[in-house]
Amino acid sequence: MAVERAQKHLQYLDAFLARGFKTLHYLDQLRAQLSESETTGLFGLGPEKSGKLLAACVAETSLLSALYWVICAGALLGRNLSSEDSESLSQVLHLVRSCRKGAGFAPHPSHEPDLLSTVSAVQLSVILKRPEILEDGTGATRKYILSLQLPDGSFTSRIGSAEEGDCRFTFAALCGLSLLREPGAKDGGELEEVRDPAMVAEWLLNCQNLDGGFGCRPKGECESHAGHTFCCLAGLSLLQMIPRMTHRSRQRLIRWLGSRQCEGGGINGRPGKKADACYTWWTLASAKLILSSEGSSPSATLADLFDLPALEKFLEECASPDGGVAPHPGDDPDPFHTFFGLSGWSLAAHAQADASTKGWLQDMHASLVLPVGLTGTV
Amino acid sequence: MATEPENLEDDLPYSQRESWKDIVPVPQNDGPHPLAVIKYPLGFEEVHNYFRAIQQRNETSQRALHLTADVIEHNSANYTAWYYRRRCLKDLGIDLEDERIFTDKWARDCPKNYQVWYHRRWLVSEMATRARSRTPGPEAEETIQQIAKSELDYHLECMRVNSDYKNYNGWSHRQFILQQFNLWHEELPFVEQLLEEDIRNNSAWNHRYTTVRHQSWPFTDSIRDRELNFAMQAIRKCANNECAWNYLSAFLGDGDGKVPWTSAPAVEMLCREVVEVATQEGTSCCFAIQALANIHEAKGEIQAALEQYEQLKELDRIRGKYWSWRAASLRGMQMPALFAFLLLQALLRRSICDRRRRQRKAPTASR
Repeated sequence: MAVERAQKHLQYLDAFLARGFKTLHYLDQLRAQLSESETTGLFGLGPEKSGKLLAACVAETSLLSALYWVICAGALLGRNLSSEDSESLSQVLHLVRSCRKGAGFAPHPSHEPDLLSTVSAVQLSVILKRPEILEDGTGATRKYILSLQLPDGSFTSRIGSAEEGDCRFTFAALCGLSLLREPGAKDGGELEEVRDPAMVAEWLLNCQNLDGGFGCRPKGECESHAGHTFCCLAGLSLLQMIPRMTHRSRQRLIRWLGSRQCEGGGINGRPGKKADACYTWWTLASAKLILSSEGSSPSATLADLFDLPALEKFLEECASPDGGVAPHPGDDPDPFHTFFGLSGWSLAAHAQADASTKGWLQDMHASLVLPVGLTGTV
Repeated sequence: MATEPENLEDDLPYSQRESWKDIVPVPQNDGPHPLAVIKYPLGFEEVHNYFRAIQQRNETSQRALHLTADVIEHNSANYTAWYYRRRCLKDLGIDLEDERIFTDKWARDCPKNYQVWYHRRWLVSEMATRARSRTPGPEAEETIQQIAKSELDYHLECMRVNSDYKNYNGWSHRQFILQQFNLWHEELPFVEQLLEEDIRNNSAWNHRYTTVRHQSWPFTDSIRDRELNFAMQAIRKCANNECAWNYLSAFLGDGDGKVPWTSAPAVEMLCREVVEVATQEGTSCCFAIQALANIHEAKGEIQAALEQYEQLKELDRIRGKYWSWRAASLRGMQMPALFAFLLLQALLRRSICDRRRRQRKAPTASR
């Protein structure tokens, strides 16, 4: 049963990947067709609309991250793509390589490099055990990430973009740097190459709001959100600075996280919003990080805070019979929700002694967002 | 915005436009590992080839400005195009009010695109700088306030058009404008209007707290009372609303700007009232019970607090685990307290005994 379920999800992911590469290939053919029949356009849409439709496909700004979701979800289900001699592996490696722009990576070969795509490339290199795709012999990728740090300690997404720092970028940078660390320095305390880690930690701590959750930026500028809460907590964890949280802030955070489980078992991302499969990950991973850090009392696990069997039931309802996970029961699945739904499911399963799902889902590392078995190979 | 001849040529490909005759388009260099399968739709490639050429020439002109709009139409997340657009606007001294109207539809149609909002921020800040350098003084300040206020109206309009009152970028934009132009003092009626429409809009509750904090920090008792009353009124209208109860706990408890739960008897009364009404109606309000638990904890009535947690375990089954954990942490805190209490009692008893012994001894000694 469990094996069958894992197989379904793997089939879904494979089909998605194959379709994705096929689409990229078809864009070429469609374009040829389009120039031949300029007056009619594609599917009777007319030339202008067809052009925009194709542009939307090419202008995908998170293509490389999407690849990470799909590949990492496969690894979570136990697939060892790195040792396969398959066409999809070579396609993936080729696409990652072609997204390399200078020291960073772009979401798509025709775009400019940015932080999130670069970190996705680093994560993919770890999952696929191909450090050479980064061409990082001189530490160029690490330097690229470090160049995105702002004077206030936070990180931005692109060089010279004049965007403000944001906890998502800050977490992504810390995650990428942790994965790129020299093998000898593994688990070796603070990320020493980051400028002023204490200031970075302070910046993240200041994102905590009055209700206990964390927003995207400091000082109450943004409403608490489970995704941003995860970014702040995981960032603090990678800096090994969760102990800087006061007892009071911890209690308020735990209360906020505990309140995210809704009737029906699912977890929402903000008060007053609907439960959604992906918040399983953001919320459980945050809870795991805060509960497992020193100074949380009394000691507790996820099973002490959440009704995990009810949560698993909700996730089963979100899972499509043909594989893949949807945001809500009855919706269509997509790779984003499949990845974060299964990752959260894995945390829920591994926190229970007798969970039926434990066998088919690898344990996830709560701050590096990779299966635990892979984090040692960095 | 574009000059006349360009308008006439707008429907032609760039390669056939008279005004672009001098430009040699620059095709994309795919680097050492080209992904041969990627080709672009009609127009996309040409626009980007011309955009590359313009960047290489470092040309800021009307036609370059016009071109950036085309690039953005193809891909509104292309931040290079947005950046170049700002350079053109600045170098050419273009009327920014026109630009603001021109970008209206971009943020309205695509409110989740950060680039558009960032562009708006730049526009408003730049308009203020220009107004001040043109005619410094109260008149300029008046103009700037008008611009900033119309930007706030625009945020509301975007929320209305998209029926999305929780868009993160939009709220962030609003807070930037309020902070930059010091408009916090007029903000409460707006929040109240939104909460009137949807009392469960957590974004609006969050905004209320930020507003109050900017208006009157450190909180005085009267401000705190006003806010507690506001939340209590909201609770009276709709008791099962996590946002309003969270808002109460922003002012009560332990921490900056807060007073202990025991110092607001009205809140305790409200909790009891809500619990009673719910019981009569055969329903329950877990938030009220939770607040009562907080009040009991603050008063040191551990047993009463534990009873509330027992109730919550029954009523709020899905979070039953969490409530057990809360009870356990309370008992955990209780243990040291109990220990201290017993120790104190023992010490007291000993000192009383000592005194008695001394008293008993003293007379004999004196005798």
